[in-house]
Formats: sequence, structure tokens, C-alpha cells
Amino acid sequence: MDELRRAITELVRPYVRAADARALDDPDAELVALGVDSLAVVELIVLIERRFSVTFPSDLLDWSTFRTVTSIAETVVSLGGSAGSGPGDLDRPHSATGSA
Amino acid sequence: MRAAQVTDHDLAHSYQGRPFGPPWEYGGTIVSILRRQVDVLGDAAFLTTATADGETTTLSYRDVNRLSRRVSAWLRREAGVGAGDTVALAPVNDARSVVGILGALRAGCTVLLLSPADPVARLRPQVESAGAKVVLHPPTVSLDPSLASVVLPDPETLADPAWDEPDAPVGPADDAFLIGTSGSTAASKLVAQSHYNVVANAAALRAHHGIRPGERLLGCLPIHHVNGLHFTVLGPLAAGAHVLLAHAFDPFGYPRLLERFRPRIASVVPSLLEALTHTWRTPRLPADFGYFVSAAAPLTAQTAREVSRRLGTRVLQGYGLTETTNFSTTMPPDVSPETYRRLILEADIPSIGTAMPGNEVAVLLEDGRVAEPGQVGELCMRGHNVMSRYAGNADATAEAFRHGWFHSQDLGFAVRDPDDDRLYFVVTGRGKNIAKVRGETVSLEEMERALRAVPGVRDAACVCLPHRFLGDEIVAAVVFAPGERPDVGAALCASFAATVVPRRVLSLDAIPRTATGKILRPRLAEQVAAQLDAPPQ
Repeated sequence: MDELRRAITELVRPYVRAADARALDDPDAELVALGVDSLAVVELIVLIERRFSVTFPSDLLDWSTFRTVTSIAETVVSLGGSAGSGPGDLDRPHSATGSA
Repeated sequence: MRAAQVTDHDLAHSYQGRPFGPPWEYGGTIVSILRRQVDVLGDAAFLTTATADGETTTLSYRDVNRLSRRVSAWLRREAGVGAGDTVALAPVNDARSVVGILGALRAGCTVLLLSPADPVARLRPQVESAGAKVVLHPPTVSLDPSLASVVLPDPETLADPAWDEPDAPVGPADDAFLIGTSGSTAASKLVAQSHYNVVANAAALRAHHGIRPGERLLGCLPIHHVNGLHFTVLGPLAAGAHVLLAHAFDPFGYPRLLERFRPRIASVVPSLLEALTHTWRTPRLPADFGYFVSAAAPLTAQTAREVSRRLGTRVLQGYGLTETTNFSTTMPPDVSPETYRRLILEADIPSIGTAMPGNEVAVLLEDGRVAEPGQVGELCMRGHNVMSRYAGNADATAEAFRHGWFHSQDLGFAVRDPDDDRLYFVVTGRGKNIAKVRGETVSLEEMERALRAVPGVRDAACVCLPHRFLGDEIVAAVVFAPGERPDVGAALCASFAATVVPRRVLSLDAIPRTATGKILRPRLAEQVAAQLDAPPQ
């Protein structure tokens, strides 16, 4: 799993049901099925935006973005984020709008 | 004229000196009210239910009446239940579940509400204790086979009973609902709510919020709990209102529901508001939106301020327990901006409002005296919304009603606002060791007992941490036997819903206890906080 997906997996891990922790080894596992519910997704939005210095635009705030670790990673990349970007990374500009 | 000896039980159920009993202030039951609504409102919309993808179905008062009569007939003929029997039902927020509940009440049954996510080890004792004759559920809920549950049929496929077949006769004092509550220490208790509790609560909601026929309310909280059931189903029914019952809270879809449905009142919990202020990036409430009613967990002033700043609206916090049917107090809708600012926006602890009509609320000291305004004591209630009893538990019932008040075990104080002569209440803490995780109440002591029973665990305790989006989070502090590291989370799943099982388990050398063995909870909380804050190894 690439670095970005690994980083996202670790952010998601605390929200996964205890019994389903191993399933998270697969970045394409459906997160809702693993117990990541609506309130967890809201917290993840905040954490991901902070961690990767991105801002999700309204049109990307839906369930398809947060379906799997991979879909989150792809969205983060489209917003200009990467495993290397983070709150301490001053070179990266914040990305305000996404692209398809 | 001196009445016969008045008991604590009688006093706990009296409202402003008016005892619980005939002559009843509000006539009938929720079933007879439904029948009346058909005559008065007929084809007016009552219940719109929405699925996850936004598809909606709307039932009128006439529809719900017709369909629930079919369910009632089906129950009596096919399921073999009759008046006085108890049926268990694990509902979701769909039309079939609402119609199922009303159908069961029409058949003269008491409805035991089950939480669909509870493991069978938690459901079975409730079913057995209540003596439920049948366990029902909508098709989307799957229960353990050992419960031998029956799928609620689609009422559209059922036959109409004879037009003049009457509903089973039930009286106001008869049981309408049995609802499990997680007690502090003992096994969970079954709260018995009478038909009059239901009607009195519905009347209180209507009076307090000024709900008029045809008005729209938005609900999304689960109807297996009293807030979802009474505030967003039975209360609106009695008021002739139109409710949109969302299947669950969807942070992405909720703004669309507000925009499409344009409710005046929306039922929420604080974590839902927190989520909305984060995910609704360009919020715009319809002009005819009135306010949010928040319950179930403490609202923070910060959340209220965010809602004011970002959504431009107010949050009226309310408070109640299963034992008081639904809301015991709520902020009044006509509160002035100055009072709202003082008691909510700028308060250390936002107020839970004033006593609802139908119940009296008092802050009592340990000796039973009423506390002075500002003095902390226990919040107690008495009135027509107070539960009938804890079913099958006379001791717990007597304990709850001692001195003629229902004891909530929550601590707080009363305050008189300088501009508003009403008495407002503030909750300062819980006397009970419970946590509310994602809306489900969990007894910490029960979970601790379950942890200590896991092989390889020497000692264990649970800490309840406030969580912005989940309500509470439970962290397990465990003393493991040397060389042992059992998966305590997996073990807890046998008796607790997966959503409340601690996701963080800390290993401690010892649980801090007094000489007599009581857990020193403040010290434990400090140790846990220190471990959680410590940098990772």
C-alpha cells in the first residue's frame, strides 16, 4: 500500500469496529461495512483536512468520497494533497477546489 | 375530605396536586387520537419516511389508520396475540415499523421496544422478562435465530379487517410501552410507560412548542428510544403534524432534507449539530425554519454559538429520561434573545430549560428539602409523564419514587433569569456511572464487570470521555495477567452493541481504588488522560 493510503488507514483505524480491525489491511474494503459510521466520517473529514492540508469542497462531501481508503486517497490527491503534505509543510499551498 | 393514605408512588405521579387517575385531563389513548385525526385531518400527511438515497414515501393519517388496523388484525389472527399480551419489536425509522407499533397498540398489546443493534445476550433477558409472546422486526433488521423472530409483513399486502371491527379496549393506566434502560449498577431495567404517559407527554410537547396541525417536524433519531418515538412520531401524531422521519442521521444528506422538507422544528443531539457545522460548508436554512431541539447529551455553549454563527438559528436544549416518558424540561421557544444569550450562548453550562407542562421539576437535597436557586442537588420530577414503574422490579421502583418524587440521579441547580420569571434548570453532572455512546446508554459498571470476567484480565475499569462527535467515548483501562493479552473488545461484543465497545484499551499496572475497593474515578480519569496524551513509543 502506498504511503498516502497507509497514512489514511491509520487515521481511519480508530473508527473501525474492534472485530473488523484486520479487514483494514485492504485499502479497498468498504468502510461503512467496517463500522465507520456517519459521525466517524465527520471526524475523519476534520482530521484528513488538517493532516494533509486540504479542504473538501461541498460537492466532494458525500459517501462516495469516503467509501474506501483508496477513494479517500484519490480525493486527497485530486485536492493537491499527498503523504508528504501536512500541517507543518509550509511549501504546499492549500487547495480550495477539487478537480475531477 | 381526607383521601386514603397517599403513597410515594401516588405523589410521584401527581401534577400540581392533581393525582394520576380519573378524571383524566386528556381523553383517550394514542390509538383513539389517531382515529380522531382521521376524521379531522383525513388525507393530510402524517409520516414521510426517507431511505438513505433520499427516496421518500408519505402516509396520510387515513393511510396510517388503515394500515395499522390491518397489522392489528394480522397480529390477532396470525400471530395469536391479544389484548394484554406483550409483543417485542426491534424497529428502524421506517413506515413499516411505525405502522407496526401502532398496530400492536391497537391490538391491545404492550410494545417492548428492542434496540436492533443489541446482541442477543442483551435482548433475550428483556424479551423473557417482559414475557413477550412474539418478537417482530422490519425486514432490514436481522435478529439472532434463537429469538424466533417474525418479520413484520408489509401492511399493503394484508387484508382489511371488517370495517366495524373495533380496536382492543385499553385504559389510560394500561401499559403501552416497555423500554429497557441501562441502570447504573444492576442489570438493565424495563421502564413501563402507560397509555396516559404517552398522551400526557404528547399534549405537553404540543403545548410547549405550539405545534399546529400540518406543521412539519424533522426527525432522524432512532425510534427505539423515547426521544425518537415520542418527540418525532407519537407527539406529532397527536398534534396533527407532519413528520419527516429520516432513516438515520446522514451528515451529507441532512442539509438537503432541511431544504426540501422545510420543517419548523428539527430534533437533534449535540454531536449531530457539531457534525453539521463541519460538513455543511455553505449553510442556508430555509426562512421558515424555527429551531433545533437538542437532547440526550450535554449541549456546549460553543456548539450553540457555532449554530448561531453559521446557521443563524437557535438550539433549544431539552432533558428527560425514559422514566419521564420523553422530555421533562425544554428551553421555551419564546425565550428572549437576552435570556437565550445568558442561559445558552454565554453560559458555562447551557440550561436544559423549564419544566414541561404535565410535570413538576425540583432540585432536591439528600434530606428531601428543595435546594435554593444555584444550589446543586438532584433533579427530581413528578407528574403525569412519570413512568408507571420498572416492570418486575418493585424494589427499584420504590427506590426511584422515594419521598414522592422520581429521582433522576442527575445533578444540577435551578436558576431564575432576571428578565424572565420562569425557573430554569441546569444539569451539572451525572450521579450515575453511565456513558452515552452514539446515542446508546451504557452502564460503566456493567461493562467493568464484563471486562473483569474475561480470562486474562485481573482488574478493569471504564472511563467515559466526552467526544465531540460521538457523545461519549468509553476507554477501557485493563490490568492484564502477566503474559496475557486477551482481545477484550471482541469479548465485550457478546453482550454490548458493537458501536459502544471501547476502541481504545489501555494497559495499567493497577486500577486506583479506595481501601474498601471503590474505584477512585477522578484518579483513574487522570491516569487514563495521561496515558492517552503521552507521545507514542
